[in-house]
Amino acid sequence: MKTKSIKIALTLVCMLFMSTAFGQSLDDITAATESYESFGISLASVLYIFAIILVAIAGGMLLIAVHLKKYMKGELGEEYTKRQPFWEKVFQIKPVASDKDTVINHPHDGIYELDNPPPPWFMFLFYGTVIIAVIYYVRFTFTDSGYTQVEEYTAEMKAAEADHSKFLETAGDVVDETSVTLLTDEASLAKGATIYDANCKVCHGDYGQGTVGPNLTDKYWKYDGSIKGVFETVKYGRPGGMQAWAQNMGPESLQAIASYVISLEGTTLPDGIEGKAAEGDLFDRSSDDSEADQSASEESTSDEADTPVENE
Amino acid sequence: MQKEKFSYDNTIVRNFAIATMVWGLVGMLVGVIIATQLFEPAMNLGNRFTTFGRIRPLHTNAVIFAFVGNAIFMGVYYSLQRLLKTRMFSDTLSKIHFWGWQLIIVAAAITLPLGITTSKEYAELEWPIDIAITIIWVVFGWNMIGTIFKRREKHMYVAIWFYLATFLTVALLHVVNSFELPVTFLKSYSWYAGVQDALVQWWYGHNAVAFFLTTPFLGLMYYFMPKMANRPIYSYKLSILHFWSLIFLYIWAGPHHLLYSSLPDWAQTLGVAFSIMLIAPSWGGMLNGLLTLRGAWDKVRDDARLKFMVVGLTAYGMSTFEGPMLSLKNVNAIAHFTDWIVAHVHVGALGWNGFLTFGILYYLIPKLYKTKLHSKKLVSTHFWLGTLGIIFYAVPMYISGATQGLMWKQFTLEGFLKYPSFLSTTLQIIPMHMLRALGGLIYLVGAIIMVVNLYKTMKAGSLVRNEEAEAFPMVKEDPKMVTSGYWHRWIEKRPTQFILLSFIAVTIGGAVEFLPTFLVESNVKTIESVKPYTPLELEGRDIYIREGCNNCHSQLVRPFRSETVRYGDYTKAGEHVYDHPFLWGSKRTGPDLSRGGVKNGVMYKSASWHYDHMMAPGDISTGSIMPSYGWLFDDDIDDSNLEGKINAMRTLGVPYPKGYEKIARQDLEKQALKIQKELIADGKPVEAKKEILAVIAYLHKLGRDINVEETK
Repeated sequence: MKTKSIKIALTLVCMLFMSTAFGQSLDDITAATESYESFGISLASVLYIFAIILVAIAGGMLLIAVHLKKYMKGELGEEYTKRQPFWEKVFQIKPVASDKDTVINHPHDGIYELDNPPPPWFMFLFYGTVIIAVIYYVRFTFTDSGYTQVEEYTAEMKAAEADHSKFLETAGDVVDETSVTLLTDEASLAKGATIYDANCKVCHGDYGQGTVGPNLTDKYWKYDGSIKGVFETVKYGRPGGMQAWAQNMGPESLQAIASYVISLEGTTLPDGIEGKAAEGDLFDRSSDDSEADQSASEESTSDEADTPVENE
Repeated sequence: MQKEKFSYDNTIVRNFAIATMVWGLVGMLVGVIIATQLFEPAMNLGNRFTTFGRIRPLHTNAVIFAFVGNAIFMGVYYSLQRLLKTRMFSDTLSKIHFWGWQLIIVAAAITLPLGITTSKEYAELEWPIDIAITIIWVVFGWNMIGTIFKRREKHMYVAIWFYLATFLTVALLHVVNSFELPVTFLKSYSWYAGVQDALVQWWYGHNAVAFFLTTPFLGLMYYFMPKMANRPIYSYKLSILHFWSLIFLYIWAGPHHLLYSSLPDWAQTLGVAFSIMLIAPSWGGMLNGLLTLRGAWDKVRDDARLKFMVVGLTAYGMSTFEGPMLSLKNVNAIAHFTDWIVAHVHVGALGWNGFLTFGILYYLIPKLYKTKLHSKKLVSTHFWLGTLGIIFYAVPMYISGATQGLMWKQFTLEGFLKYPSFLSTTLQIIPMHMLRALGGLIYLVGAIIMVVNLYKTMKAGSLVRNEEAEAFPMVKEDPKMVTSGYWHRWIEKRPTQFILLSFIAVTIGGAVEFLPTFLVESNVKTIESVKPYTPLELEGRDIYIREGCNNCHSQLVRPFRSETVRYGDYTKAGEHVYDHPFLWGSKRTGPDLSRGGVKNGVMYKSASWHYDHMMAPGDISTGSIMPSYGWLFDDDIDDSNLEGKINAMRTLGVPYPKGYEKIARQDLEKQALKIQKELIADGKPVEAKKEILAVIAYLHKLGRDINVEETK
């Protein structure tokens, strides 16, 4: 009966830890790798340390279990049960034998108190935390070595900007507007959709129906509608409000978002969502072999070149 | 000298014990129900009275004030009489205390589901109930202090120090935090606004944990632990040291609930510093309790009641170590607003308060009924179920909290949020929410087994209503005690001086933090473009409070890149000067809403989006765990008290022009009509003056004013 209930409990606990695997994708694991790397340590070394800790805990528990079993069975003898447990020595606790000397002979409702001093390590902890707290307070409130939360924020933003420009430099021009091709695989389109949600829908609407910016679901394009043209539009921006994104994302993301935007063409909007009136020229996708004349389409809209840029 | 005969009042102890059990089951059951709503929103049963935002406060109040509260009174009424060798000061006061407290709980159980709430956490009850709490609390204190003055035992035992500190501090906290201006019988506005309200609230909230969930239970531990184990308290010196340091330091730590908010840096740093210092004083109690078992650990093997006490104390030790760790700003940055905090408080509530209460109940009931426990085996079963329940509750919540907290912060190499959709981080932790509900359920089953066991125990015995006792009358001085020569012996004999000194100890921290924040203007910099709420927005805000939206949505953007990119500009103190009460929230089950009104911001949603989303959140955001708020479309805005509300706000310092209350209703209707037209133009049929219009108006107000300032 008892072993059975222990088994059930163990199974349940195992299930508990198994469940961390729920919903994990390869993506998250790479993300985790990245976050460890940002601390300057590799995932492998983290796992290694973790494994050592686990083995140490398991070994310790095994030792305790064997010891406890002997203790419970009384195999360790009368002497053993009476002597001071080792952990009491470790924690500098006074032995039970000394109780008769330290007891305060004034019980409250039968409860006695002992006149033992608090363990030395406890006092060390007590004064130690006080000292740490004082240093911490003085440093962050009265000295220049501390920083306020706004300074912390500014530093964080600066570091992010630096990281980003470094990324753009190293990412190089893997794909540019002369070599870009249309992506149609699901993963790239999903990546594009994520980028769209975070950056584009503010102006182009939740569904690409167009709000400030033009409607992306119709077949009309203000600028070149080919993948090369759309890539260029996103990368460098266009007069009249379209922001340049080259400073924000790398070439592969530009390719994904451009492909995603093209995939929106011709989609039907959900009920109650009205698409913005078409702007620009009808683009014939079937004839698109990425050779469309870009300069022509740019000229056709040059009358907008002087309108102020809204988004900056 | 002749011994005097007298009797202990056991009836009152038994009554509180029964109340503890009944409210305990209720509180835990509500907890399990709301836990299921966090993965299956339909578990709100499709009606407003059982929806998360309204009954989460019911759960916290029931568990804290009804379950734990009655357990405190049970233990205090039992131990106080015996430690002081006298009957309670007045049986009538005892009865008023008992029935008064139960009435307050019933009032809470009725008003909270009705949406009558102040929105301030653990202080949600409206002003008439606040007054009732004050009166009953004074009755409790009067009864307790009266008992102390007619005692036969000169020295007050350490348990009583903790009881006194509890009484004094809770009174102070409750009165100061409940300062509110009534508008009607069931509606009031907090006296404080914005960052000041937040400071007062978390001074209260933090110390409710300290002085309602910690100090009284330490007192109970000091009585019941040595009683059960029949062993002496390990160190009297440690008792003195940790009592005074605990009550003095605890009160300062409130600001650690507001790290990275717009509370001034100096106050936040103060909160962190004092939290670090709290580790040792907190552990003093655990140490003295566990070391009391020195030489009696073999008893723990056989006695499940002691197992409860040991695990309870260990849980206390864990959560009081975790607390200071969570107060470190870099840990807090990840853990705050996530399930981590929920795990933390439940290790405390389920482990420390729950298990200690169970242990004490198992000890008391057989004593009161002069009989043996019905089944020791069931006590053991309860213990293991309870422990398993805690593990199944806490571990998933830790995993969930760390997962979500890190997901919120993750950026891609290109500098985008890796999880720009808040919902994707919610969906990731749904399995953890399921396991958590399972953990809660296991814990509840254990508690039900206890109630059955104790009921059968009661049936088997008969209540000793008045327990005969005898003791010598109090002598002027116990010669033995004079020789032991501690300075503390002096104050232990003098309740008046003791009360005075503890009161001073607990007031200092609050005063140092409050006064500069309230008096020095630079601490709350005003922003000129911030305007008071329009009447419609004000009504919308009151609906937001009624529905308890703040239980799941924060309105506080911390100055982190991950938050300003996700939500918008970080929160400034000056934005909230008209917020009576503040609505920053403490948990992000859903995204932050404080930038919902910034038109070109990431968080802005059109009126028709809100319309669809409130109607059926799952249709707009697949997998959303937000319930539908259909009734906002059925009910008219109740603006019957609008005039009173405007007047009240003006009294509190909101600059509505003179006579504005007369034309406020026109303004309200005008603005509602505008939103209604907008919705109809988008093909969303809505009748005039429906509540949804006010809610949309309010959500579109959030952060709008500060945005104006920036674009200028």
